[in-house]
Amino acid sequence: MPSVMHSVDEVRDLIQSGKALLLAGDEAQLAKLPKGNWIGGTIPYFIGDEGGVCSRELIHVTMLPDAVAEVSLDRYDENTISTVYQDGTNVGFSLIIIPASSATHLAFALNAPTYPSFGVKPLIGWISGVHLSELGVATPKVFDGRTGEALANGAMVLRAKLAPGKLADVGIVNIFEPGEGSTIKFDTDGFSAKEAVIDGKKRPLAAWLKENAIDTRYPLVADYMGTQVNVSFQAVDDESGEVTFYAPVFAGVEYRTARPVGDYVAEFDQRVPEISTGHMAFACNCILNYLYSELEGKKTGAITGPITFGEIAYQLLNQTLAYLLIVDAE
Amino acid sequence: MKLPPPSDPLWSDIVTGRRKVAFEFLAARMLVTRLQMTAMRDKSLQNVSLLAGQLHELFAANSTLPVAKKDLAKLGL
Repeated sequence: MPSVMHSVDEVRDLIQSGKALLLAGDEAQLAKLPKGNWIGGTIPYFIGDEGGVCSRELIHVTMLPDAVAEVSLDRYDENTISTVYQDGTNVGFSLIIIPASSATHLAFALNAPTYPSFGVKPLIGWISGVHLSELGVATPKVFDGRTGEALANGAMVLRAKLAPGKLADVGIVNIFEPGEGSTIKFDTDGFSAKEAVIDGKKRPLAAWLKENAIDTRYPLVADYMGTQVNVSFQAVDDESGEVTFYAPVFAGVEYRTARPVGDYVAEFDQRVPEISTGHMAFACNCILNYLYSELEGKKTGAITGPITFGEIAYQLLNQTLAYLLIVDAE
Repeated sequence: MKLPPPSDPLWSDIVTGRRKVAFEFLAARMLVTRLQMTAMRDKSLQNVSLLAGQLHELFAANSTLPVAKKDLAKLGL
């Protein structure tokens, strides 16, 4: 496996050699890079060559596989993001980065599954963030490498056309499973809720979480036809009764609190699909997995990638590893 | 592979939940979950037809992807 963590000078050379790149790093480092065929997002946490690492100096570089024949870049905002799938129907796959808590992030998170041509071609990516010591102080950004601009609101998308006979496939690894406890439903879509329908009865959610000693390090989990989709807790405000989430809950979807996980790395290793990382074009994992499972210094198989404030595998996910494979057409 | 047209009952039966399929293709799992929720809220023929078209579009665009081919085989295609 080639190294994924690089100095600014090394990345500068790669850009100037004409390579198309997907970058993740501290804002100060990304801002030093020359214009070129790249997109980037701010984050100082990674699963690097030696495992989980926080670095404000090094940049994580995703180099596109040889199967990529042509690359183009697109920029969106909250008013245009609805065409993100439609615009990608003629390419092999699309890599997207959106800054956390931006208007574009909120629009995408809430509405992506209803956008035209959802899922028709692979869309994978991540939500950019900041060092955790700067939450609420620094602003997550995405970079448009063509101009060098850093955007606090918007989305950058790298579109990749593949060589004939090659296709892209998106997958996820989620170690969380719904527990045996209560069913939880919501009346409306949103990033927060005061009430939920719990086992068929409307209840104040914050009070219920407290009464039942629910560990909010673990997400709510919904079953999407056999795929477990997480929504992570951001905060529980006992005073106002408001519970906030890192991804929206959707009305009509049945959630349960997740079964506790003991050893994340061991669980993860058991669930990593039988895939050759040689075919893996991109992967990312969640900051909450990094924190709660203490991934610093630990490897998650041979998989590397940015540690993110949200993962996108077609739609926004939480506490999940998302990956992109290049496969042969059948 | 030539798929049945969007108007074929195969697609609307999946969208309305009349036909249960254990899809493996991640995009299909996510899309069908959403389509079925939408169809439950509005069971009109016009809406179901629209949703069936979206499912057809997904498989038409991915009919040579190995995991999608497995799902198509489950549909007898």
